[in-house]
Amino acid sequence: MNIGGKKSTEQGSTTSATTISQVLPVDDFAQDFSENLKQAYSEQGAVTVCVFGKSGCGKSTLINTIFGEIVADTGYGRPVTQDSCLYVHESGNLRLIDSRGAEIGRDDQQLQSGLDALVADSKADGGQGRIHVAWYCVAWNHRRFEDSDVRLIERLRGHGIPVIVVMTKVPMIGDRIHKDAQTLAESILSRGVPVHMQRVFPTCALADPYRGQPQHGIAELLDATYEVVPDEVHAALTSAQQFDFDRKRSAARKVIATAAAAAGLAGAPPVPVVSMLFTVPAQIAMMAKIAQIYAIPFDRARGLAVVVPTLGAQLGRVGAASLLKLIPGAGPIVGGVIGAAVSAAVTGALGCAWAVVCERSAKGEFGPMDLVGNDMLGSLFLSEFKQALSRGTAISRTWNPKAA
Amino acid sequence: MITMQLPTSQESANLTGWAALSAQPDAETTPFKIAIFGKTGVGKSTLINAICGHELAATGIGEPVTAAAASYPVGPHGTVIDTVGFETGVGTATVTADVQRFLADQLRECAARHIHVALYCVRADDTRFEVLEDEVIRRLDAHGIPVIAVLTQGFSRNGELHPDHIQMCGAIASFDLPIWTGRPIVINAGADLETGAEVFGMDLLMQAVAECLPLGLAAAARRERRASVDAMYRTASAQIETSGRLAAKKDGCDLPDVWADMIAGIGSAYRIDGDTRAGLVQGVTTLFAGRPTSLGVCCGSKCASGCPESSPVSPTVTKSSRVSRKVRRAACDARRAHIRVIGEAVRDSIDSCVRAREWNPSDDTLLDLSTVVAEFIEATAPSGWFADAESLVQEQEGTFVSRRRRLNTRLAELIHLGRSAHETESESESVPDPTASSPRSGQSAGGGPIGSLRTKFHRQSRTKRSA
Repeated sequence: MNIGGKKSTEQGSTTSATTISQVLPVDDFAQDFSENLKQAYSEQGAVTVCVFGKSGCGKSTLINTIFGEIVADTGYGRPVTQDSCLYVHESGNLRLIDSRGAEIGRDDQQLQSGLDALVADSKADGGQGRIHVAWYCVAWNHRRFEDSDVRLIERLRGHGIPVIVVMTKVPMIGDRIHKDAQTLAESILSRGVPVHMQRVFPTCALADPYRGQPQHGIAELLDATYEVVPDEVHAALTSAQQFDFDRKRSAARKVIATAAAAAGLAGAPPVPVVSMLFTVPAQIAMMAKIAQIYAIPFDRARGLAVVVPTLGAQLGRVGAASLLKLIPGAGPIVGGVIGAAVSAAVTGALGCAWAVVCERSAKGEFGPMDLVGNDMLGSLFLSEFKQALSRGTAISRTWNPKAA
Repeated sequence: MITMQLPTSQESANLTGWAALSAQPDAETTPFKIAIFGKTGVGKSTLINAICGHELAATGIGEPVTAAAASYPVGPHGTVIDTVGFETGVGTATVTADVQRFLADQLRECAARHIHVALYCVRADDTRFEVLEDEVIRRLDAHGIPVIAVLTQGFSRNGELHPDHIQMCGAIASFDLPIWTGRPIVINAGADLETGAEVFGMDLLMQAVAECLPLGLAAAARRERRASVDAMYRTASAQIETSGRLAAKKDGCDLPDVWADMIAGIGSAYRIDGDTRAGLVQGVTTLFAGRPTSLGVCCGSKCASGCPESSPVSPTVTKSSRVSRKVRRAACDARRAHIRVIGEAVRDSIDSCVRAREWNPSDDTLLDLSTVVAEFIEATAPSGWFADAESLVQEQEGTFVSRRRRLNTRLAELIHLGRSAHETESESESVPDPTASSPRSGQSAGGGPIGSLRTKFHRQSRTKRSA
C-alpha cells in the first residue's frame, strides 16, 4: 500500500487513466490481493462429507449438483467409482469422500472394512479430515432397504458420524413425493436406524425434462447438513457448496458490512476521493474473503480482481464527483476529502459489485476469455457498483438466473 | 424341434404377457419354463404378474419380498419362476454358489421341466451393470439357456424411449454379453398411477421369449440326452470293471468269453439291440484276432492266426515254474488291464459316436458299429492302448528284474516272441532292421529294463534269422 506516496489528483477533474494507474499499479494490487486470498483460504478450514449408497443410485450426480462438477464420471454401464475417492477441492474448503458403490457380491465384511478404512484414513490426517457428516443414499425406485444398509448405518453411527439418509431420484407428484417413496421412507424409519432427525430426505438432484420431473429437496438436505456439522466448518461448507447462493450472499453481506464499517472509521481522516476508492487494505481483505466464500479458484480470482483497477480508470473518466452524487445523503464533497459515510458507502458498493462478479463466475457464466481487458466484465462491475452506491449495501439479485 | 411362428408387430402390439405368448400355436401345447433373475427390487415379481396376467407374486416396498424361489403357471403348460433377488452384503462366492445350486436343481429333472428361457432384469434407471451380473448371465449361457436382458421400470412417452435408456442399452450392448440379440429390451411391467408411467415393451419381450423358446427347448433336450448318455457311460464302465475282475480270476483260456460278454454288456449299456450287438462282438473279435498285445495275450486259443501261446503267464505256466504268488498276481493284473484297455476302447468309441453325431442309440438305422469301433481303435490303439498295456507291464516288472531275474527274462522273451510273431506277420519279408521298421518296439526299445531286454532279444533273433 502506497497511498501516501502517490500523487493525489484533483477532485472532480477529469483524470486520465495513466494518472490512476500511477496511483494504483495493477501489479501491486494483484500481489496484495493474492496475499489476502491465500490467507483467507488458509483460515477457512475444511468440511468433510462422505457419501454412501449402492452402485448406480446417483451419488455422483448428487455430489455434482451440490458441490459443482467435481466428480467427473457419472456414466452408464459399469460401476464408475471403483474405489472410494477422496476429492479435495482446490480451494481447500471441502474434502469429499465418494465411497465405492455397494455392489452385489461384496459381503458385509468387505463393506464394513471398507468403511472402517475410510474412517481410519480420515482420522490419521491429524484430525483435519474428520468426517463431519455421512450422506447415505437410497434410490427410491430400488424400493428396498436391505439388512446390509441397516448394518452400514449402524457402523457409521458407531464411529460417531452423523448420518443423513437421502432418497435419490424421487419423483414429485404435484407438491408431494411419490407414494412409493413415502412408503419406502416410512419403512426405513421403522427399522429403527439411527439417522439424523429420524427423517429421510427425498431429493431429485437432476431434473428430468423427459419425465417432467423437477429438481427438488437439495436445499432441505443442505439445511440438515448445516445442522449436523460443527459450527466451525459452517464457513467452509458455505464456501464449498455451489447450490445455495443465498447462504453465500448472506455470508458475503456480513463481510461487506464489517468492511464498510471499518472503512467508515478509517474514512475519518481526509482521503483524496479517487485514490481512496480501491486502496484501503480493508477493501482488499474484503474482496479476498468474498472470493473465498464463492470458492473462486486462486488464479481465476486474481484474474477477476484486476477488474478493480480497470474500474478505477473508468471512474476517473466519468468523474468521481458525479459518481458520488449517486450516494444518497452524501452531501457535497468538501475540499477534496470525503467523509466517513461516503467511505463506507463506496466500500460497501465495491464489495457488492465484487460479490456479483464472484457469483457469476462461480455459476460458470464467464468463459475463459471474459477476464482481464474484457469490456463486458468491466461494465458489469461498473453498473453493479453504481447500483450498489445508490441502493446501499445489498447484493443485487436481478441477474439471478432463478429469477430470470 | 418345436417351431413357432413369430408374431408380426401389428398382431402382438396390443398384447401383453401370456396373451402375447399364447398367440403362438405351440405355446398352448408345449410345456415350457421361464426363470427371472436380477437384484432385489428390480421388479421381478411385477414382471411375473404382467406375464401371468394376474397378481400372483407378492410385490412390496422396504425389505426384500421374495424369500424363496416360487413358480407360477403361465397358460395351460407354462411355468415362470420368480427367483430370490441378489442383495448387497452377500459375497460373490455365495451368490455364484446359490445360482449354481439353483440351476443344478432345476436342470436335474426331465427336459420338459428344465428352464427354457431366462430373463435377466436390471433397473433401467440404475445406469449400472455390475460384473457379478455378467457372471450370472454367463453361467446361464454355459448351460445353454437363452438369456434375455430386460431393463425394468423404464419410461417411454409417445412410443419413444427415455434417452437415458437408449444410452444404457448401448452401454450393455458394448459389453458383448451372451444375451439374445446382444441388446436389452426396455419394459415397464407395472403402470405407475402416480407418475402416469405406462406399461410398455411387454409385446417385444414376449416376442423375444417366443423366439428363444425353441432354442431353449432344444437345449433342454440336448441336456437330457447328454445326461442319459452319461448314465450309459457309467453302466458301460461298471461292466468293464466287472469283466476286468472276472478276467483277473479266470483262466487265460476263457479270456475270449469274458471279452465277448464285456463287449455285449457295453453294447447293451448303450441300448444297442441284439443283432447289432452280436455284430459288434464279432467285429471287435475279428479286429483283435491275431493282434497280440505286449503281453502276448490275444484272443486266445480260438485265434486263427496261430499265436504261439494263448496266454504265456497262464496259471499252468506259473505253476510249473513254481513262481511266487506275486508273479501270479502280476499275471492276473495284466489280464485285467488287458480286458480293461479293450473295454475302454470299445466304450469310448461308441460313446464318442453317440455324443458327436447325436446318434440315438435306439435308432434302428444304425451304421456299422464295429467299423466305427475299428476305426477308433486303429486311431487310438498304437499310442493309447498298447502303450498303456506296456507301461503297466513295465511297472510290474520293475520288481521282477531285481528279484527274479530268470523269470523276468522268460517273460520278456515271451513278450518278444509274441510281438515278433505279430511283426513278422504284418510286415513285409525283407526287413533290414526290425528296430527301425517297427515303430512300437522302436519306441519302447530305449526305456526301462524291459526295453533293453527286448532290444537284446531282437538282436538275438536277428542274428538267428540272418544265420
